[in-house]
Amino acid sequence: MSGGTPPVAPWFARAVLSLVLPPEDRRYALADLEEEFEERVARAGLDQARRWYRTQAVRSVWPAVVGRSARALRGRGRSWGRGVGSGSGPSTGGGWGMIVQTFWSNVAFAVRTLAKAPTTVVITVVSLGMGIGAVTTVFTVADGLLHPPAPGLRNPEELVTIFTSDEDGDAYGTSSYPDYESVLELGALSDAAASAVRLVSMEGADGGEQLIAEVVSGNFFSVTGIRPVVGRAFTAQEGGPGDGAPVAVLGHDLWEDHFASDPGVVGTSIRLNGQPTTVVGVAPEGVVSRRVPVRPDVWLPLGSPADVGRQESLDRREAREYLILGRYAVGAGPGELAAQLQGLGSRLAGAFPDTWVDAPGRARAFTAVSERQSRVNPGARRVLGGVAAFFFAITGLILLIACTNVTSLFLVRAARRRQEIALRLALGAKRRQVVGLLLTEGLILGAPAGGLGIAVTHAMARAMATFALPVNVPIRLDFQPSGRAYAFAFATALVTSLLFSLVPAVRVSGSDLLSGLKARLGGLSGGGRRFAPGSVLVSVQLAACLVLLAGAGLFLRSLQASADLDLGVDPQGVAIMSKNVPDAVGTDGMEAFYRDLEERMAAAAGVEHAALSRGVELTLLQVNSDVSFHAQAADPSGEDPRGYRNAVTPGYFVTMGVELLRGRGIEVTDGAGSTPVAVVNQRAADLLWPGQDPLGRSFDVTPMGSAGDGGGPGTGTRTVQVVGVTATGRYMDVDDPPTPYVWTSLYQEPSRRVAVTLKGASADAMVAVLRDVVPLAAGEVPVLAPSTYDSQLSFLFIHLRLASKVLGWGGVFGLFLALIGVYGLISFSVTERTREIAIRRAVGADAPRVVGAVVRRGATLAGAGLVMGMAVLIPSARLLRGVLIGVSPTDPVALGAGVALLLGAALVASFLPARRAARIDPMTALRQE
Amino acid sequence: MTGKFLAEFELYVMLAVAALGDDAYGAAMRREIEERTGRPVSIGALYATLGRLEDKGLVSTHPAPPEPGKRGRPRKYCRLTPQGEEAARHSTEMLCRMMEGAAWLQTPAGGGG
Repeated sequence: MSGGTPPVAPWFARAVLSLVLPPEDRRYALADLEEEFEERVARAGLDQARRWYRTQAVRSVWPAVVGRSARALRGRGRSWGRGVGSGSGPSTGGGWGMIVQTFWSNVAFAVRTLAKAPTTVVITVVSLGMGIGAVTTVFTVADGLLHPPAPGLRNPEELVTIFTSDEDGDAYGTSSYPDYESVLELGALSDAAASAVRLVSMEGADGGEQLIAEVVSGNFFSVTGIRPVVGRAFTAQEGGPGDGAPVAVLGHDLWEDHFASDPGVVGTSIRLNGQPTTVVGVAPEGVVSRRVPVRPDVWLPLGSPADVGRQESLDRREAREYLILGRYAVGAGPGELAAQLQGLGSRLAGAFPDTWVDAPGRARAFTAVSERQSRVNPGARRVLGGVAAFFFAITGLILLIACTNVTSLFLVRAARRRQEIALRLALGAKRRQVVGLLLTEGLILGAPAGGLGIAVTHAMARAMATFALPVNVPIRLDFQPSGRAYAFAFATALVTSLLFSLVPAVRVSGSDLLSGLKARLGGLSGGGRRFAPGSVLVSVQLAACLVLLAGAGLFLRSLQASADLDLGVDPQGVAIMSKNVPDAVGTDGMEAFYRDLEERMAAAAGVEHAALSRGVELTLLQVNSDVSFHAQAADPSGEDPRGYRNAVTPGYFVTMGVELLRGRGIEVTDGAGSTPVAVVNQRAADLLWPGQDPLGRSFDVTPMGSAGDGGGPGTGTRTVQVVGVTATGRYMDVDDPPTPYVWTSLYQEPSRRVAVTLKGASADAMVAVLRDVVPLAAGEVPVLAPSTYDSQLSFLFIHLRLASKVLGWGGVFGLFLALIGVYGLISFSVTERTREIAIRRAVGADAPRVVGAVVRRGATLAGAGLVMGMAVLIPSARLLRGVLIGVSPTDPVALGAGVALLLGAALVASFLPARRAARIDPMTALRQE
Repeated sequence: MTGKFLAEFELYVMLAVAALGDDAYGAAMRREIEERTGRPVSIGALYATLGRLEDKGLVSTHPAPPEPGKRGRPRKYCRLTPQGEEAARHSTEMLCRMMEGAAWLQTPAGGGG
């Protein structure tokens, strides 16, 4: 029953099967599985079918390998007797058989050898497994973010995303609905769909729930080719300005979680944003929005009654909220489309000179990007790529540290086995065979390490899935390791295990027989130089640790500095929440609604100040609307004086602790009937009227709500009169440059979506007041539940917290591994040099001198590591300049602390073996030798 | 004691071959055994066992090329050889003989095939 493109079996599982199945059965077995897979997709869904396929692959490995080797042995036994009957039989000559046999005997031998060294096995598997797990986790998240699946698309190579350049000139912005309608007429496209993402609340038996809705043009499903698994998709008539139908297609997750996957849900009615909406279908599993990388819970047609307050934005060319996904017309290609888009762009720029320019005054432009390249916004992709690179660097360093440890361990093991290996070589083994044997040992340890890495990745993915976001938004950070992640983990395991076993293998097997057999006697002569690679490895480890530790130090210092930052607000005792004005209240009734709510809050116990506002600076409720002062600034040729704005009620400034420098704030008299007023910050005043008195002056502001956070009825440009000036604070982010900012009166510019702010003695008490006093409509779920302003501000620094935590734990883990490395190396050299030390003691060196000599070795290692680490750290820390707040990337305190920690730890780790060296009794030691 | 004894899973595979007749190919057999016994069967184990049975001369296989059309798939059909039928008969007979006297078999539950 499955139409469209056939579903695809998990490729990694398929690759594993191709590898293990006997060649004569391979194509039949794979075809059998494919047949059942497709049946299962139709019956139980893609996810279930893929799980089944993977289980089949995993369960097949062992019987297939055993059966195949057994058959190979039988086949060969027979073929020697009477030749091979069928041409496609398993025996393809003695060469392959020999290699297989050698491999298996190597495996058997390596397993036996390793069984005698359980500590080596455990240390290797655990440290490599943790390292691989860390890297694979980053890979899984990056892969999930950068390459989201796009199931169900019909002929995806014909699909193309069309962007409009945004306010800053970035090419990958969203488009307005009127622009979408213009794009629809292009000859290079057969059709195009528009989509936007919103939050809607769904009423349930136990209150409301926030859902992510994708609002789409009626042809969305036919353009993409996505077919509902149950019911139907929207029709082209159902979505459009003015007359969107009250229908919805449910997301697969929501259908599973809330409707128990009941196909009978089609035809039932649910209440979305208070509007009765009929369910007409259920989307297939795993469909991700292209607008925001989340799985929508529900799809609504454009103009749907549940998309409250957005209908009028469909007429506004400056309301750029929609993502356009087009399908090429037959025979048309990217070149033709680009030419037509360019033509359309310049036509629009000519026709709408006010809305088709960006902030710096350049004409806007369309950009078309192929479906595959635009699953994630190409602009966001760059940022995500940078973040992913940062985490790859950190986890890569941890893996490097783990790997060097294991290499040292194997070097030591190999050195201990010099005699065994020399003997093998003497008895006629080829060097290649000896290397092969040692490599097999590495590979045998690599496999469980890769498995452990996968387990670690799954655990981390589970932990991340429970990570709570600061807002009531149902975004699932659900990153399941894909086939690619498995392949990545095992490829990493393969490469690392080859690395750590290859160096010792080549070194040891290359040594000549005599020196190998005489190794025991060599203590005096070659002791220092023989383990040079070991010293280099340990120094590299220490260098990597220094990078991690000093990096953590930088972020901690930055976090410390951020606490002293003057944000221009006082979060002490302040609580905030978001609130929607009920639909029953018309635009004219909003002012009365605000005033009534303010009075009720002010009357509540413990409340000192209360206010309503359009948004709250420095939180997720900040208003995205900007003000262009360009034409009005005193010096229009100067830098781009772009500012932001908010609309507030009288109590706002005192509630938030915003300092008024001159004039007055917004007052109760600034109602709908009075002169429109504004309070500006010092920066805005300086730009508009440098050196003059701003009070009493007028300027123009554009309406709020054009940036997609909805609500405010846009009524063209308004002229406002300045009544007050505040100090310049921070508004959008902590590291903003001084930005012009404007507050108008919320009474004069009402908005359906508002923020409620309260100040009292304790912020927690205010949170409780918000919960008790602010009425919620049936099913209403605030985007931001009542919370302290402080807790919201702390999310500004979440990247610092996260980075210092990841680097810190990485550093501690790395340091732990590196100390094992230092200890192991020094300890081993003490053992190897027992004879030398004993002789020195016998000829008069005292204990402190011996200790000093050994510890000096450790200090040398640490010193080399520090130099290397600094050489890497200083240039790479520069890259963090934009991220760190209030701290130089070469902050001496952070770097010094890292150095001290590392040196101290290295000295402790070398002191322990040094003490053992000092206790060597010359006579006993020499007699033993 | 001239007859050969079959391992449990080998016997299942041979009975599935017999039950499916002309339609005995990988996917059908895998499903047949899984559905009847309730025990998960991997495709790898099935083909390994078929290989073993073929080497013992109990089963013969006949590859069939993909049927024409987009979704045609190659299949490998299986049939019991005369020795195979003999071995399966022998094994089931022994099984029946051994079942006599087992207490829980006195009251057969349901009418399962």
